[in-house]
Amino acid sequence: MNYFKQLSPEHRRSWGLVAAYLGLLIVISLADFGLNTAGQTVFRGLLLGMLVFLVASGLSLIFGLLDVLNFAQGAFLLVGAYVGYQVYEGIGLGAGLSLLAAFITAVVVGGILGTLVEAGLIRPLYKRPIFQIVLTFGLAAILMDLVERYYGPDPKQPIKPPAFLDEKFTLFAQSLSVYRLFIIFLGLAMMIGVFILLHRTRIGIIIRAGVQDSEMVQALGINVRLVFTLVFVLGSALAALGGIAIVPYQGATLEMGNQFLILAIVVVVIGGMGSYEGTAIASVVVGLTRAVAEQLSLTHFNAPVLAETSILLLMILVLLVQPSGLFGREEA
Amino acid sequence: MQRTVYTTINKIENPALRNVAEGLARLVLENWLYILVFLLLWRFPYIVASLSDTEVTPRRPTGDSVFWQSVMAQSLLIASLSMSYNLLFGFSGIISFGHALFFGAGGYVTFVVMSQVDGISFYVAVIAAVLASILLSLVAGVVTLRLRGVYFTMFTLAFAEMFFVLAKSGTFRNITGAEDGLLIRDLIPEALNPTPTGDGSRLVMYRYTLIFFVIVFLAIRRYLNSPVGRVMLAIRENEERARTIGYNTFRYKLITMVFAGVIACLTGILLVLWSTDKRIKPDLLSLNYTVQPLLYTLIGGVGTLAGPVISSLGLELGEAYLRDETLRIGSATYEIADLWDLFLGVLFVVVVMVLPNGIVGTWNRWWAERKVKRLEASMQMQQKPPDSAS
Repeated sequence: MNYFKQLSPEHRRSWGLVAAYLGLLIVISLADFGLNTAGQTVFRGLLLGMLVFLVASGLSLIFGLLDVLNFAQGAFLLVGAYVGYQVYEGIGLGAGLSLLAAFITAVVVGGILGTLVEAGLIRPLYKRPIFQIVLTFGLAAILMDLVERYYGPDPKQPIKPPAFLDEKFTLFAQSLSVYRLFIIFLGLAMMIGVFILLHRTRIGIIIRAGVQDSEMVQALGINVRLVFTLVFVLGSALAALGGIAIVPYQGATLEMGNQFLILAIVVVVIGGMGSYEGTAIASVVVGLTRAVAEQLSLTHFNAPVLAETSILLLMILVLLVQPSGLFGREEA
Repeated sequence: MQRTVYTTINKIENPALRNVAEGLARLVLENWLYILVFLLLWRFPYIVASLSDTEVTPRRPTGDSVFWQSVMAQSLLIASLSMSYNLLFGFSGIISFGHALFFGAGGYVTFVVMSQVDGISFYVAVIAAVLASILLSLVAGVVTLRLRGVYFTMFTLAFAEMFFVLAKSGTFRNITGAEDGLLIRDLIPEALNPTPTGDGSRLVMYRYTLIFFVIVFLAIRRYLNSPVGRVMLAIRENEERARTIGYNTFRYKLITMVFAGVIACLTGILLVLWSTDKRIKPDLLSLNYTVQPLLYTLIGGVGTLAGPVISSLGLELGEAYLRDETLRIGSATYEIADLWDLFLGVLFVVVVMVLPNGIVGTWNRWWAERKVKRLEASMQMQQKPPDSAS
């Protein structure tokens, strides 16, 4: 509760707004769909929110510290998903170990890719920030192209999680795989893990200080560049983790990269660039909004695609009312 | 040579005639390279025909000349798209990642309107498409142009991607045809159909495309030299200062965005006419058509007029030329067509890292430095008396 006492009045107001908005969403879905469907929708929204968080947290952290808008996050997710898929299919160690190997490989490959990109391409361009944006954007296109070339354009089928994750449980009269719960816990674990990293460790203090003023941190004799690389790697590894986490649930498609990049962008805009708690909350907000809008448009217009617009409308609204996002720094 | 021309003109007695001659001479002397390039492009089908010994308008629609007319026309359109992107990125400092939206909206609005409204003329539908693209750029601009650059960039990406998803979704299948796209073969007016039928309609369409390209080029050049364009350049250099002087920078950026959006929209319509399968597909709205002009603009030279044109034409024609070739490395053979995108990506990264001004920008800089050096050298020669060897 110490956290809430330290909050600025603006942030306290933002918390209130978010709580009210989420409450409104739940009330609407309860009133419109009835208890069971509403419960399922909220669960789906939470699941999506957690997956989006894995991509968005990297986007937000990297921007906050490095001032680099990393459009390659979506591509990192795609690489994680496909590499993990390949490892799972190729390794043949039994479902449990194979999945573990797939997760580890995806994260490691994502991390290595992040290191290469940061050290090789981003670092020489710190004096030319516009080119950094353009470069990550171009890089994303190249990476996606490579994935398509190497793995083919056809979507990959979901892989079967090991037995203990594949058991069914009943929630709101719907039988669901335990794996979905696992994703939510994974997301929550990462959310808390990164929070602890940021708030309870020395490196976290340096990162947070760097977000506020990286030059000052450097003046104190800390190798900020190393921390930059570390954060970039953390971001890309989290995105790759998100990628492989999706595969047993939905399979892998080439569109996934852009899809999640867009969602992550919306999350970061709503939460505020560079604000960790903002990203975490906005992930839940975006996930729930999307799920509820999907259900609403399905029941009323038979057009689930309209959910896409709902996310964007939310983003426009936030941009117009508070351009720096709910928890962002005041500088927009 | 320049001097002789002007001295000859100055000898003309009649002042009105002299003015006309002087203007004409200036036009030719200052733009001789552009005029030469235009004439070459105009004769391009004939040049290819004589080189490959094929006909320009054969009875059966095959042969090198016919093929290259299509390739060149599409390259010219991609060049127009890149120029419109450069107008935003290079000359205004607006980094939009949603340019494909305006490009795709051109084709989509035109032909969706035509297929939905019976008996509507193609040209009316084009006007509808232009109005739609104006509206879209106004919406995107009004929402975001007041924001910091990063937010703007992210918003344009999300905004454009949303329309891509809408175009692909099965919900509107009976309007847009979803993933399969919309067959437009019967909707294209006879006069604008470049599909070769032996009557030379492709050659006519090639010329229309070339003229469109020239108009786009001249319009952008004129725009940059107009008062609005000058303010735009000032905003690119230092927006804060431009605002302090008293310019409403928001308005100027909005005008530029609308201008670039309209050019992209018209380009999109023309490119659809040239497509071989005569379908409007969601691909038109995909990120491809944002990435492509972005790459070409950066490779050619950000903020140069000729840069995007040179890189677009060079790379597009190069791809078409090398399409069927294979590359041998050791025992492995690769299709060039498969490797092309990768090559483009690597080229892009190298250019961004090594030549931030692109090909044309670097060339311009090198040329200017050479001039300065020469001038300095000649000044030193003048200052130094020949007998000051001691």
